[in-house]
Amino acid sequence: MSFLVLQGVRKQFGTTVAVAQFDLEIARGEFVSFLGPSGCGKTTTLRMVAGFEQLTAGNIILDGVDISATPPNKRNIGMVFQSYALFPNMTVADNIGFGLMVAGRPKAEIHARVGEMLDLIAMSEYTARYPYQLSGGQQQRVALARALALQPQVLLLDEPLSALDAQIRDNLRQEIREIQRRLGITTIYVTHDQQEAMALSDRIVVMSHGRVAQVGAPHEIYNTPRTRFVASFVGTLNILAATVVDAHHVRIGESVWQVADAIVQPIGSSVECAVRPELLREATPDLANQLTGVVQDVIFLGATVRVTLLAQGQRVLVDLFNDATHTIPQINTTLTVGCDPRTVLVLAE
Amino acid sequence: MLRRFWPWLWVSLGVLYFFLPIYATFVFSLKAKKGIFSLIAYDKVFADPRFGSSFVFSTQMALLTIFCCMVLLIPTLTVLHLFLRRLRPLVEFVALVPFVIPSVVLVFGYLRVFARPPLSITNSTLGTYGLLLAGYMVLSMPYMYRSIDAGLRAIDLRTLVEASQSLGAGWVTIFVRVIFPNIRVAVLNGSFVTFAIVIGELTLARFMLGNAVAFAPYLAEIGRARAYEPAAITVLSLLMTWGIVTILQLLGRNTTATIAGPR
Amino acid sequence: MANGAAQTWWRQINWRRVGVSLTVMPFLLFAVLFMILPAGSLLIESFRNAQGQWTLANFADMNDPMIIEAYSMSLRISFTTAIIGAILGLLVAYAVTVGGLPRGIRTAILTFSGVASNFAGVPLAFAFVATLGRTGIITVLLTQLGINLYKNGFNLYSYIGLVIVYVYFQFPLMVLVMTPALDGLRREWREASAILGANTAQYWRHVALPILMPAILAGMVLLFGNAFGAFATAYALTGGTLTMVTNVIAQEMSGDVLHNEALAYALATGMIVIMTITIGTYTVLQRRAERWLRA
Repeated sequence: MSFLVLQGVRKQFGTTVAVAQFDLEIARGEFVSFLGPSGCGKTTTLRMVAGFEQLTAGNIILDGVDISATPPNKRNIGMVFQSYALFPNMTVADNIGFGLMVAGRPKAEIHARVGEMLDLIAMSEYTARYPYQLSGGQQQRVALARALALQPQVLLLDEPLSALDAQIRDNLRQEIREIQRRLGITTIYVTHDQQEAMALSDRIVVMSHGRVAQVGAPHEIYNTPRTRFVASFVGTLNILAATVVDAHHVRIGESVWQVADAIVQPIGSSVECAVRPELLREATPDLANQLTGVVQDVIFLGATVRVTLLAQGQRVLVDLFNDATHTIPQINTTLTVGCDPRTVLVLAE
Repeated sequence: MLRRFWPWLWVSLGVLYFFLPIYATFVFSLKAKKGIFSLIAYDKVFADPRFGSSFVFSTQMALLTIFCCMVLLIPTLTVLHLFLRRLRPLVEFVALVPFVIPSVVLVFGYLRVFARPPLSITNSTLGTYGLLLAGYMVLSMPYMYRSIDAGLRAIDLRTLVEASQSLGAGWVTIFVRVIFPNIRVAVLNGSFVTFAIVIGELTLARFMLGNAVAFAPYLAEIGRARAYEPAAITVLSLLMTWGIVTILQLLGRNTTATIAGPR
Repeated sequence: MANGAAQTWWRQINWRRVGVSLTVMPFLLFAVLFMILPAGSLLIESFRNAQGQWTLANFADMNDPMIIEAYSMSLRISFTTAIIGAILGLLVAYAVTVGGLPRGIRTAILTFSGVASNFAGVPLAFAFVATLGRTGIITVLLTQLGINLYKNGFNLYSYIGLVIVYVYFQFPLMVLVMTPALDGLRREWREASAILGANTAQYWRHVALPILMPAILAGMVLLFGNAFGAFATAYALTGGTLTMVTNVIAQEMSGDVLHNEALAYALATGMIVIMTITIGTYTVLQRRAERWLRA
């Protein structure tokens, strides 16, 4: 039984379609990310769950109750905004206690709950501070505590880390994940940062142009992207033009490559093959798929070395492990790389 | 659109308050001759040579004020921004002083200090005009200061100056060709406010020059003696204000809130 | 080589000196001569009697029915018009920002406000004479409808008239002050309060109004000062017959009405003190408003 269900959700602003068709079922306690470039409809979808945008069509069902027409202040949903959105006229404690205060809870209960929340975000000594006296990271933690104080059924996070510095972002990311696990709260997290989505989520919803491109666990999205868009948005990818030879082989220039999954496209048609740079390595005779090219560029990245290869008229990126016992390829030399047939994807479209 | 009822009501109320007197003044100015609408009041206004002469006088004073303010403030502020940042709060404070001295008090002080021995500046026409100019500069100081300061803040002054120097420009060139063109719009903004202040300024002119020389005292005097001409002049001066505001809007800068002006 | 370096060094030092002395000194000199000296001279003279001896008698002399009347009239007019202007200005600013009226209305209102807040002094007085004076368009119109304003105690050339005229330039100033503040109310605050369970009234009571309060107070204080120092409008309208501080000082300049010059200095000092408190309060409030709206 799914806890939160989005059924055929659609949003139109005038004639512009922001979200075309969105179906998703989220289990209780699950952490789901909406991932996509700006303008893909991920924030609009989140705002529809929050109740800030009216649905043009479809339903949102929370714990068996259709909340599509419920105003935001009656939904029992918590939300954290990209810009923190703390009330500047209130102290940290007043911000966290705001929801309880407007709900008319007794002072003692509010006080106790605020204390609990401050412990949760490890900011007990900041009770009386005002938002402008806090750093961005601290403000966002307070915002998180404020959203959780009412014990909402669902927590929504709208790019909560994108206004923060890199290091604070990593720490807070960790903290969000830990808090979410501890409370077991159902969470939707909107981001355009694939690493963030990978690190945090149980499942990722990749969105493009108002549609769901793919839903899956992080490793599924990364290892078996279903479309070219998903493949290129998540991680770096080599896209190689190829021709279908038979159900399990394609021709890339002079080379013929084996593909593990059966190819659905007709024989002789042009397709695109995708392979991740880190899954290509220096060829050994046992590798079925090989490609020879001339080294154009070598970038030393520490743990890996990124080699740009020009092979059969196509640019190919190869990430080789940096190994002190090996020599780094030289520019303008010839290099043969290869990969396992299971790592080659023939992209739909 | 029932839920927009209250906003519309407030806006309508504001617009009514704004336009009713203007409309009434316009109608009133046309009623110089009983029973018909005519431009007689306007004819009479233009027929009085003092209308033209006082307007020209005030315009000249306004332009002179703008020029002197720029000469006094632009170099000062540039130096403050570049070299004497620590002095900036002091100058900022000084530029705010005119706000706390009502114009009546200012002219009172001027007469007290400058119109008596040992200085007695006001004994000569030139001295009086010079003192009036100084007074106008004081009244417009906060606006000119603010607009020039905003202009200098908006540009990366230090980099601009260093870039010009590295290209071999001297300080005169830097001022005329680099700094001024970059803050021109901001300065223009302050200049319009200054223009409006000087043209409409009654108090200083009234007590230094008497009733006839400058525009606003002339207006006030006419208003005491006549009925329809003042309305005509009001319509004319409103048209002028609208012109200035239109230019300001075209320059793309919002008119900022102002406290002074010809109260 | 060493010589050349020395020369450059000289040049830099020299320029700094010239820059400081030639560009900042004129400004400070001007300020001292035409702002500090005149105001300071009034301040000092207000503590001296006609014989040049130090005294506080001038301030004691302010305990005079006419002077008390003048101050109370000035303060009352400033206070009343600040309150009325602030409320009306706030409502209009609310309408064009949060009220969700079309963009064009907002631009138009802001333009009107820019004009109206500067449309003061002599022409404004005339405009109201033409509107609500004894033969003004509205007065005549209402008389034809059977309402005689002047027989019902209204008089444009009195306190009530002056309030109406002052509000004309007061409320647009409030619109100009409040519009940026209302724009500073972020959509997220409203949404955050909604998602936390607050209704619209609770949002305004606990979030929006407290956030706006420094700006509202700053606006009111600004309006107060704006009216307190005003002279031209009242002068053109009433010919200086209304007993206000500015009028009393003006009359003293035209002819010796107080029969005590030092008392006039004390009056002027009182104005400067009140204006200083006003502008000081405004600055503090404004800073607070900006800090909150930026946070």
